[in-house]
Amino acid sequence: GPMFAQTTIAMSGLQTDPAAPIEVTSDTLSVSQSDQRAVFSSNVIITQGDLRISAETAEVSYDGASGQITELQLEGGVTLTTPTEAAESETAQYIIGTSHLTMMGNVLLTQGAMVVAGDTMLTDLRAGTAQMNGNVRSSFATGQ
Amino acid sequence: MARGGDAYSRFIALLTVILPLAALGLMAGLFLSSRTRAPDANTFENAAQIAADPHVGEPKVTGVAADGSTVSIVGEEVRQIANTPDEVQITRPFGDITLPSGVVLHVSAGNGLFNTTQQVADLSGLVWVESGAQWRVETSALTVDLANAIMETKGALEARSPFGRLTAGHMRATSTPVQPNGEGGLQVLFSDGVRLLYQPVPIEGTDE
Repeated sequence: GPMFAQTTIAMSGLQTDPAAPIEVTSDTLSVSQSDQRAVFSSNVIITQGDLRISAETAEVSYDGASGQITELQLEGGVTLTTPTEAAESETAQYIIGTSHLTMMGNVLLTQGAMVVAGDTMLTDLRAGTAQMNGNVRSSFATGQ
Repeated sequence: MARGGDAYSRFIALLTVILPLAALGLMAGLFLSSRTRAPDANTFENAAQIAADPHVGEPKVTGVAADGSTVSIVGEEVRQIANTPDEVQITRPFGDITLPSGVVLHVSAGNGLFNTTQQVADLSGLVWVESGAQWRVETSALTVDLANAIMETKGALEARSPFGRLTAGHMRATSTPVQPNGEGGLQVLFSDGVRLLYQPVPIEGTDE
């Protein structure tokens, strides 16, 4: 079938309140003073409202002066779920201030019966919109 | 003074308290890396000074370790532990430890048991460690191993961090001299289940 280079998909579920507290749990967290790195490792689960993201590691970039997390870099296989959507990718980047979540590498998104695959998915968790880019293929699960 | 004279035995008794305390100055090595310790480095300058000063008001120990860490520990009361000559107990130990990299750690505890030969301090009661305004760790028991520059909790802890409030089942901090390429310095590993709670401050542009 036709390959869509870029498809913009509007989704309602993939949304979270940007002011909702973020909880990160994991087995370990290592912090190093020399390069101000903080890395959560193994069984990392990030929740914010109804949004739940799991990954193998999550590196926190933070602004020491303001005490704010600017970004979470997730690696080792990322799974995102909301009450109505599930998405998987190899890695992801969550820019907290703007609520932009980018999933990268073999992205697979399912929403109800709809399945969309692509290279990267840019999500605005505030507006609840997502854009799948690169090698986009979509299909509908049929005949359950 | 005749051997066994009162003054003499009092002096010796005092010494048994002061010398371990002076050795406590070796606590300076909290962030001392054995790799860099020069065998004959003089690790404690003012030991002689304290020993000579018979009346020690508030027991205070300062010192500079071989790798440049400096420590100053104040305590309310110092007690020699009966029949364990190398153990000294200090109530309400409170002190600063300045790492070679310049980072200053403030440490406070309800009680401190210092083993001066092993250079290990077991801090208990409410123990907290603070570094700048960004980090504060609170726990109930903390071991400070000077010879290996390791600070480790016995169990669970709570922490305020530059990126939110943390709890974990265990914390282990190690320090190595900072290399020219920037490697080294303080490494902290939180384990046995870590939980961070962070309150984001979204950038405006939310069209309420």
